[in-house]
Amino acid sequence: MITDTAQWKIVIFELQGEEYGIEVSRVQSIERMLPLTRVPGAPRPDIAGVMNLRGKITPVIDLRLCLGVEAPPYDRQTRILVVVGNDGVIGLIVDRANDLVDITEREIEEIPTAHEDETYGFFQGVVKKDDRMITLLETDQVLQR
Amino acid sequence: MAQSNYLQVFIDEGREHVQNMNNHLLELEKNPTTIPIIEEVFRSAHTLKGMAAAMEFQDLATLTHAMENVLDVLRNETVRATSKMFDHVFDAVDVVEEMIDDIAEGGNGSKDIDPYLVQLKTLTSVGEEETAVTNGETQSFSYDEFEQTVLDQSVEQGYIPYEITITLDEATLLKAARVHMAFNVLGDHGEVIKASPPVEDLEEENFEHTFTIAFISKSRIEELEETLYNVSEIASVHIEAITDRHIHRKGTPQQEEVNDTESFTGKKETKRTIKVNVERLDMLMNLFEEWIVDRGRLQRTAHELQNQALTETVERMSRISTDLQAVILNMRMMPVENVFNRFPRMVRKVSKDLGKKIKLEIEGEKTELDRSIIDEIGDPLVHLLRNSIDHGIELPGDRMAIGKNDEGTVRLSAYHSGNHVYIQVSDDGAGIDKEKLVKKAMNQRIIAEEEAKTLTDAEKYQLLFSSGFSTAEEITDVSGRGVGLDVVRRTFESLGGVVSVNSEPGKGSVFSIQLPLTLSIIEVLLVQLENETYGIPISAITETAIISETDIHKTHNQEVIEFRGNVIPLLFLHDVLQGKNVRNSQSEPFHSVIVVQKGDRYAGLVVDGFIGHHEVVLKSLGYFLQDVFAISGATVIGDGEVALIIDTNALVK
Repeated sequence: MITDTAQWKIVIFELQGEEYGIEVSRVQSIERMLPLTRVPGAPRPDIAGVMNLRGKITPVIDLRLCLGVEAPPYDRQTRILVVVGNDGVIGLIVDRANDLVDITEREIEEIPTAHEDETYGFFQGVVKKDDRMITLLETDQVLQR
Repeated sequence: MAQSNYLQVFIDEGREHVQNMNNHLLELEKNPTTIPIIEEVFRSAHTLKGMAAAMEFQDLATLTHAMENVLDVLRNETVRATSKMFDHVFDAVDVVEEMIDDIAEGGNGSKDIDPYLVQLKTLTSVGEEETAVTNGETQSFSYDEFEQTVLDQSVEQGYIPYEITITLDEATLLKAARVHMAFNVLGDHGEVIKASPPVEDLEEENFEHTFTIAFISKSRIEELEETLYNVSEIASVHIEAITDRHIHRKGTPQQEEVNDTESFTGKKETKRTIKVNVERLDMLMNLFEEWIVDRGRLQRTAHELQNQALTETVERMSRISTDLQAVILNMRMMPVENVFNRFPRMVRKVSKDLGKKIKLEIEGEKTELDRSIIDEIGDPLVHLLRNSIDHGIELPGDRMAIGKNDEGTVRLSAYHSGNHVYIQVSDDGAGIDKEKLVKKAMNQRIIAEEEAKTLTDAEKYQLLFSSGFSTAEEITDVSGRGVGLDVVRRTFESLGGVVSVNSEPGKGSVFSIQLPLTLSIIEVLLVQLENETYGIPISAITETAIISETDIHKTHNQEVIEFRGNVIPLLFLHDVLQGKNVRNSQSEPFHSVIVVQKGDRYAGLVVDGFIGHHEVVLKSLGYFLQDVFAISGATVIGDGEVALIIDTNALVK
């Protein structure tokens, strides 16, 4: 989907002090925490519930649970990234959403293999930008049921 | 490309034309000589051809063109359509439908159409041979009002109207040129009023060898004949003067035919309508849903503030929004005929394949249902109809042997009652042997022997829909019924429908489906479960009650209560939805119970408290959260939060 010279715009968010990124075209909006309704018997354990996103019932995944990082309680910084997946719109809970950066495809490096666990497929690669290390999320993999 | 703008229109209209051809071909099969019906089919094929060519779907254009030729033979020659002919044309219609489906899915509709072209071609050549036999006669023209006026006036002015049938030599190479020359020489003698095939087709050589024209002239027949025979490669000329009597004799049946056309297409009243994209309707619906939520909020605020003027305004608003709701829902309603009219084709095919004689009767096709439901019921209905034909109706010989008419009847009917629409599929076939059914279910270990003894008749028939039962191959000989019927039941239940069966051995069976009018707005009882709120559809609720702890009894590890003379099981929703066993941890003296019903089974659902009766907009949880146990959807309640709607059907077993 990206050509060699393509510029990527990446939304940067934070999970447990680490920075992650999602392609901005996949992000519909960034919401402050909204009231969630638990869904009993939901198909995956990381589904935090459903929210009312301007009249649309939208499922919300706690990305922290999904990626296996620690999930502190929601606070004023907690955000829901509303992303567009193949099967509809889904919210992703993150600790905070910070920034928007430009990168080129050439800057993307492969994930260090030491990282290879069950979440390996969830990432596209890492980007070193100035002093920051940004892990790029493979949204479709994360959203696959 | 600009054509993508038209693609959706092309697909929609294409499908309409396919449906139209199917309907009229079926009609035509019953009355093979009715010209207006042929013309109706022809028009659809012709329009499709034009559309396909414009959109550059070459195969589709070629195929529809071939179909057009067959219909043209039917229309112009006096060939009677044969059953084989219908089979071929129906096949072609099927292919056209496949092509349109392919285009709808982003393909270009290309397909190997050669076998179909060959089939269709043989049909037109049959037409040719028949023509030779009927060649001596003039072809009947029908004249519209305008043409008749022209003919009448020409007679008044001393012209003689003729019908001239010209047959070109079979070996003619440039047919169009001959036509041109014929028209040319005739031009010196008078004027051509009408041609069949139409002039454009003649110019494009879209005809075999014969064409007919209506011609007014002051010349005599012999003169005209002589002139025409001077044109080379004209094999024969037949000229007949149309007398006044002649015109009217032809005019009168034409009038009747026009009426015919109207009655079978049902287009008598012309209503002014516009087509609206479904997405726009959905958008309107969504906006309206939010409005309803806000209305609820406003109502509550008005109630709290106790301000007279505000309360009155809110009340008026509520009334208007109720009307508005009715209007919007109405816009989403479609007659079931949109689904029903695909069935005659299917029934024709299935009964042919099985060698059975079947009459399909359709009733109440104007009954309206929400579009979202209409979209879903097609496949399960096909299944039920197939089932009736396949396993219900006996072979003609068997029917005769037991003194029945050799033609079986399958009736599909729809009607309205209260807030529901009922659809029935009934047949006058062999019926279902319920005892055999029970025996098979026992062999399949679907029910235990003791259980089998207590079953009511309705419950015995319900066995057909149990999932283990239906998939098992070897039981298909219980008149085969049951195969895949669990899927049918599930589909209808997911739409909030209820399916039941009744049968009388030897006389036939009836499958009835009760469906809600709409899925979008339902009435629920909101209930409290600790700090969570759930909605239970009112339609499933029989009664609500507060029961005392002492009313609860235990049988076989199951808590039950006595309710109106029945012992019904209690279900603590805490267990189901929160995974907590509240019965042990806390013991309240009283419990709020909602008695729900599914078919003839009851259950009592225990909750912490009732909040109240609300009209809510049912929304889906989306693709991501499909098939969540006991949850059928969600809704936004007054304070903007989401409440889940409980699917009581899943809870009552």
